[in-house]
Amino acid sequence: MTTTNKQDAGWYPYNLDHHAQALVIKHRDEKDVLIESHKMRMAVAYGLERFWGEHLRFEREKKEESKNKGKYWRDVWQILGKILEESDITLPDADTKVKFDDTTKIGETSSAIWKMSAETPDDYRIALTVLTQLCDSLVWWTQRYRKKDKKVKGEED
Amino acid sequence: MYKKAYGIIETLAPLHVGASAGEESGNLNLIFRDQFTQTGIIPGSSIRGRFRADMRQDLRQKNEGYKDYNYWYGQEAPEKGEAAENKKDTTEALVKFEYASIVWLPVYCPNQPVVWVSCPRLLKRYQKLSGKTPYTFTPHTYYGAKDNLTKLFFNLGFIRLDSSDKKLGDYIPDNLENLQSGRDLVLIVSDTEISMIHDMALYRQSRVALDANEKKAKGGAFFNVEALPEGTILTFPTAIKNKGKDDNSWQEYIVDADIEKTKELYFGGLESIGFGRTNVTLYEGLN
Repeated sequence: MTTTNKQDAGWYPYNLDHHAQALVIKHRDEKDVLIESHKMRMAVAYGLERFWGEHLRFEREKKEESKNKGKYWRDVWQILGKILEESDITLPDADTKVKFDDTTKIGETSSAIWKMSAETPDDYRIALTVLTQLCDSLVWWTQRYRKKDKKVKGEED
Repeated sequence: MYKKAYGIIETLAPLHVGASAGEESGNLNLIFRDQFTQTGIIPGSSIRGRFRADMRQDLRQKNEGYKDYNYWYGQEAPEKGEAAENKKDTTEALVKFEYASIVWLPVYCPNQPVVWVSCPRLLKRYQKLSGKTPYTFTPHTYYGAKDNLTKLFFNLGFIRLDSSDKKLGDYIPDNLENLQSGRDLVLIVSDTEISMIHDMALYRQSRVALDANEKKAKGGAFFNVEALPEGTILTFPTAIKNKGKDDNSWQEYIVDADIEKTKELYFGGLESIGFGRTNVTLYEGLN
């Protein structure tokens, strides 16, 4: 990847595989988290609106396992935001600052995502395409790195 | 010595010319590729084979004892014992074919949704075959209806564009079904990038043959296939051996082969399930 001048004409890869592998390695030691990769790949078919906010749903759960899953979804959204930022596209709530209890902010973010699809449909489609490919990569690395449940950290054989 | 011509092939369906299913156990049914750009080609033998087979099926040929057919493509070797009869010895084919390489390749682009991509090396081959004016193609230049584009996005990355270049329009063949100069977007990438973009552009599928009685894959009958996508534009050189001073052999060949206009021809494998349909146009006589 060219790093000299960001504005130079040329090819700028998203490095999706690299990002996906790092995400999978980061979350592989938490119980049952990596199976979320497949759910993410399913969710993108329904659009960005559904994808964003899944981490909030997990936030309200009490179980540690669910909270870990929420962190995984949040990390994916953040990485997507970073990748898109490189190409000058702004993703709503890219730093996932919105909290589950903040109804106003949730409303605002949802509106921002809907607005994106209406006012800058190209950006919306690009974001969705990149997210789809990122999820494909997550599924690939999940299939390679996912541990069998009984070997999860903190449990004895 | 030779009269040269060139052809343009536009794919109207996915095109698979390469290793076919079942011929190897590795399940890799890759298309043939050019050694240096790593982009899809149709070998000269496949083009020749299709032209030859089509001429053989022409009824006029049958009625005349395959006279023209043997004349253009060469007389087959006589079987044992036949030589004594009036069957002649082998003869050289008069018409020659070389491989077809890509001129423009359509790629999915989320903000377009299609952009036809090429690289300097591939366009230079087309320029030489077609006799068009030599031109220095600059990577990341583009041409289409819009000329204020700054970025093009693909599945795996994006391209920050250099300037718009109207000259590229001269290197888009006329009368294609899918691609039209000035209307559709074309893009030059560098010779080192084309192989990666090509891999993003290919039509890929997992295919399976089902068991006759159960809805499951027949043993081993599961394979992945790749093909050039619909709307790919390729070019190939062809030549005819000169016979004498006032040689008009191209005109004769074109009449015998019944290819005066653009003709629909099938190439490659998986033809019976919808692959391989193309439009072929011959542009004759550069010298």
